[in-house]
Amino acid sequence: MGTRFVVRRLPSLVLTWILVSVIAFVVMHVTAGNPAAMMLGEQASPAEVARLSRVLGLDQPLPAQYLHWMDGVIHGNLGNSIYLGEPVLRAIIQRLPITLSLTIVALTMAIVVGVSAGILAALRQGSWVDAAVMTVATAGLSMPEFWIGLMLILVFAVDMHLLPLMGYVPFTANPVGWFEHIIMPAFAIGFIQSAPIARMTRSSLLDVLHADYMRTARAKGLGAGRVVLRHGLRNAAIPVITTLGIILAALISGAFVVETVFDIPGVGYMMLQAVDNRDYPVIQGGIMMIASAILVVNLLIDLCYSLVDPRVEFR
Amino acid sequence: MMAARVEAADLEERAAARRRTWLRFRRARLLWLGTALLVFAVLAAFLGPVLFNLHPYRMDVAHILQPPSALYPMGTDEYGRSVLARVLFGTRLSLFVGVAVALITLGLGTTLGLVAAYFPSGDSAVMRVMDALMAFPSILLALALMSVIGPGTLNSVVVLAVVYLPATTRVVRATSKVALRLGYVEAAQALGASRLRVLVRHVLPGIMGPLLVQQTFILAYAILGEATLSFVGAGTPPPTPSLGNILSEAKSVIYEAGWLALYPGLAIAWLVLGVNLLGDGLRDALSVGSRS
Repeated sequence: MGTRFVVRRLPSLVLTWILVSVIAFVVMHVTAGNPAAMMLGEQASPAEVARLSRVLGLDQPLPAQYLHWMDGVIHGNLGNSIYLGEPVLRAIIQRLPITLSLTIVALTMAIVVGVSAGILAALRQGSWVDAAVMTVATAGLSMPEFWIGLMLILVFAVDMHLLPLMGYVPFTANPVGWFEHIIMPAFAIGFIQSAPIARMTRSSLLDVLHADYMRTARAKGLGAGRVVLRHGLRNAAIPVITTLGIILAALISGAFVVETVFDIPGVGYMMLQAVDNRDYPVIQGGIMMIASAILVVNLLIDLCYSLVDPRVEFR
Repeated sequence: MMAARVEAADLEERAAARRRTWLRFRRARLLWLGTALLVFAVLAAFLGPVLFNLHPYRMDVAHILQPPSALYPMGTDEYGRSVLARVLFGTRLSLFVGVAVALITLGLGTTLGLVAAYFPSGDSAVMRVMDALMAFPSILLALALMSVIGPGTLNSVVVLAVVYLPATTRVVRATSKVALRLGYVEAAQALGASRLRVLVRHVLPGIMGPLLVQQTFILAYAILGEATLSFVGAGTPPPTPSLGNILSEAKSVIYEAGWLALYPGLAIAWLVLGVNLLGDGLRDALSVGSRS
């Protein structure tokens, strides 16, 4: 069943993916100026620029350049970074574990905090707990993650000297050091994304709490906790899972910005430097890889529905 | 005679509906709280500098990195400039960018969404492009676009409008598709009303509620987006004060001057909270989503 679903979704997914690649390519090529001139610097003569343009294939018409680039993308070759002097794909893969670990810790935090807060608010609907959770959630959605990062630095690093100010230590080198460096940036993005999860959990749980099967479950003597967790949450989970795709994209955006706040040398930090340096192969390859990953994750999330709710028919 | 009676009943019904809507508006506390926050922010940003003679560029070299005091209520930055003045001018810039992005996406998104909803041939073309744009994390796409057209306030407006356009288009398309199936729209079509007339006179008023709510959220996103772009150095460049670039300067002196990082962020949160509450309140008042 799952395979059939994937197969049926494939044409539109591929079409979207190709459009994504066209956007990533066109955006960088129409107005970014001549990359060869940028690589060589200001002293380069027009002849030198023309020669490098030929070597890089920049004298070809745009469609030909696009096809050449896409051929590379499909074969895992995203070109070479102008400033880092290494292949874009290798540069991304080297930094990926850092960004990935940050995103995963943040996502875990967002889900744990968001779902528990949402359950609490739904079970105590109308009480001060509910009001407090919803107020904090609305406030959380109104703050930029990089500012929360700065405030955490101010309190825990500058004032209390509890945590290191900035930087990063790999998990494999020193797990405790890794945790100390990752906790503030992860909280900065995780806290904000827990807000939409809390709101969504609350509203979808409220929708199912009064359903007949909930009354039946209570009537047959199940404990309150079991009723909420086994019957309520499972049925309330689908809208929440739907938002996870959006939340993941937001977490990645957040991770990119927060990496610069905490000087964490991840993919985001690299991409922002690439934006500064107009290192177009890195920007182009980076956004292409991230958008592709998000498309795949969204497909997986769609597949997840069936695990949570067997009634979902794959259409 | 019969027609006149029907018309009178119709008018009465409409007046009653208007009264109910007004009642919901009055009861929507969030709406008024959000409005109050925003009105205060607008007044402070536009009247404050005039009333208290505040200059965002004037340097007071005798008072560099001063903590908040009676003279400088939010302290001074590393050039001895008043942080209060810079925060207020940054607020103006945030409001400008936010409102501009909300208006541009309103115009373009409504047009594209209506085209997608009304013309099956345009639907898949428009929506596939929107899907592709939405596949990129918003800030990442904005950064890539900014790297191409270069930093600047107006460039941020253009880029953020492109980034948030799919959200408006999708809402307009989805709600107009529903509206197009309503009885009175089908009746107008059957009576021979032109396509444009059907869309503008019959569909558009029907989707105003959800659209308005959506645009308030885009206003909020755009304010956050502008701050983020300026913070990472891709948006409004200094010395023009933007809430984001003040925070970027604050990062380098966070040991010496924590207040520099505090107030611009509070200003962003104030603005965005105001807009979000306004949006939530509007949604409740217009009962978008649920017709209970």
